[in-house]
Amino acid sequence: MTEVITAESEGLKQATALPGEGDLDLRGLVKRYGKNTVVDHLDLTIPSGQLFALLGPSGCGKTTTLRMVAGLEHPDEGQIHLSGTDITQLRTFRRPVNTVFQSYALFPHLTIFENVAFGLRERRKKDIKAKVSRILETVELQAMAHRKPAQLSGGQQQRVALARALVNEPQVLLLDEPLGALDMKLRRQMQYQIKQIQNELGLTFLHVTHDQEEAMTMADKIAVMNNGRIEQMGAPEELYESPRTAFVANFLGSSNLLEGEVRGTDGDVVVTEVVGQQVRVPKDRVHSAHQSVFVGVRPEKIHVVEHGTAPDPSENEISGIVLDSSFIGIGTEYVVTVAGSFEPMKAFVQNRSAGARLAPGTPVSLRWQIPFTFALDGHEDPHAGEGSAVGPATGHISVDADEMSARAKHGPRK
Amino acid sequence: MTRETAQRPVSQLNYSPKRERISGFFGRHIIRVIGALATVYLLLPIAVIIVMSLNKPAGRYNFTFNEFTLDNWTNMCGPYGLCSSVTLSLQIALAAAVAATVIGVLAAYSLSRFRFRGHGSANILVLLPMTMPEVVLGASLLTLYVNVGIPLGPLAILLAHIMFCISFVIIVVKARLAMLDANLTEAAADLYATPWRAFKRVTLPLAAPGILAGAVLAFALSFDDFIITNFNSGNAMTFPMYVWGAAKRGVPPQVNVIATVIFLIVMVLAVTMSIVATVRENRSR
Repeated sequence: MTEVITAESEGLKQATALPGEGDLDLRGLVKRYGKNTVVDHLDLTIPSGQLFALLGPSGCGKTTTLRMVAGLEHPDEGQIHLSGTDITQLRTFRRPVNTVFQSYALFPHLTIFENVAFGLRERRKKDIKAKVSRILETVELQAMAHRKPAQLSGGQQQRVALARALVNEPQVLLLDEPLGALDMKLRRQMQYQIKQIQNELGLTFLHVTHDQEEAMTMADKIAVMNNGRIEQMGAPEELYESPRTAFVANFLGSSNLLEGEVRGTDGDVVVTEVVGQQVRVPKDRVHSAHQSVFVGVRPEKIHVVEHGTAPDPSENEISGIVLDSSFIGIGTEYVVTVAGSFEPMKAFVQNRSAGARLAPGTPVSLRWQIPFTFALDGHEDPHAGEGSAVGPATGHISVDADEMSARAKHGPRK
Repeated sequence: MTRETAQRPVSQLNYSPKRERISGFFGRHIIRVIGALATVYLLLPIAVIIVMSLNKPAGRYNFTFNEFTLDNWTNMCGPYGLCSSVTLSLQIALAAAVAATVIGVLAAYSLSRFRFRGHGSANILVLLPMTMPEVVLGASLLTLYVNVGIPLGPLAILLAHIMFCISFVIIVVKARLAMLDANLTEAAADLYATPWRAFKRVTLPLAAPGILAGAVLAFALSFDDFIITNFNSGNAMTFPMYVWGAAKRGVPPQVNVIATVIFLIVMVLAVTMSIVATVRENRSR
């Protein structure tokens, strides 16, 4: 394995051990198709050795970005630097990056061995047999070396595509929705396997996906993309716990966003008024330049208590009436109407304590720790990014049906 | 729904024992009968050619079966000019097939892989020679040759054949290329293959069946062509022209022998290819 780690680059001769060596750096990238700006002045630095995910709904420009790094698309503006060298003008076959295509794009007329050996042969490498055998071992496909791609299952083909790219020891491995065609169980396995291979080899992976769960499971760092721009970038926990835009708040998991007004500050917290009740937000979690804000909290942070329970000063509290509840095994989802808000609030209560579910019509208090509260720009669309997330994420709440009925009742809100 | 059906009297159901017997018979045999008839219809002319190649004609015309003989086969080149016309046709067909295939493959590749100005019109223009009536094409070619000063004869024939064969090669190869995943060339480029290497190692082998089909088609079209050739041959005589000329005096049975030989060669090639394909599939399984 050690030999694989010593990545050597053919296309680029560079001084060794520069700071930022192996970093992939995108500066002001723009790509237009006709009048459509698909990638809009994108700035992004992907540090060497990371598994970096570009996450966004289809059409957000993430695949175009990846293809520009691979050299398969040419940017209209901006530069791409790899290890400090400008590769913007370098043609695809000279770039020290390799791609795992969404369709795998395995050569149907070549055996698995020859598919994997393709890049090595093109660069006239030595010890092709040993290198190919070793990488096939890594992806557990030695036995399939002499078969043709059509004789392999989808998951096996996926691993061949991975091996075919990895065997070249690229400075950056590009993965374009690599698990999209696999079923749920296999996808989980592959997520784990890819993550492990990345750890072992220490290569930089740029992973493009629309699956927020996949991105959070695998990536060291995620950039959430929307409309050709990066909405927010950070570690999965950071994005999830402290979203800066409504899009991120809704696209990763789900969020309660309630209209509110900033009323003042009290030490480290900003005091807001939401539906006539006071809600405190930590200062560093307020991302709005305006008085009007959306105050947000994730459904699973909330605990639902019957009205009249003694309040806790370390918690925010909003009272409402249970509209609906559904038991989903690991917990209960509550939909709670709040006086003064068109949107009901969602709360997810873990199945940890005995006792009956709260019946619809019960007056309740929704309570959560102040540090879980965040505030977003009040001019945003509070529904941005909703419904574009995929997969019924276990542990996350999805009350789309309720929202639909609520919206149908009250009409679209802006 | 089901209850209603059950309550309906049996006589009203869409069922009678007699009808079932007939439809059963047809269901089992009608397709075979039609298939057999169609096959006979297709192969009968060839059968006649083969049979008549073994005939000893009573007079000048080889129209009725008179007497069995192998003379025509042992004395293939008997009639004056027959074998030299076959040789010329084979030479022209081979050269035309090779040239048309090379040009046609390149054209098909660029038409299917690149978008350039005039792409749409080029797509249509390359097919034009195919849609033109051959008589018109032949006549206008004659005018062209005379004006440009190209002597009529084998070269003029070859140039004409290459021209009309290209369209067919383009159609066949383009259809094959359209079936290939466009990502494959990108994958090759991503794996350090220059555009030429990608073409050679990925596109070409995958398009090979289409290219071969195009080449065979071009060969057959050229070998077979009479109308255009007739305008531009000068003194040269191709096999179709020999047959045309001989028809006026009575076609010698050796023509049937030549036709039978060609048929047998094609059959052997087809059978070999299908055997090779089967073997290859079994081996890779």
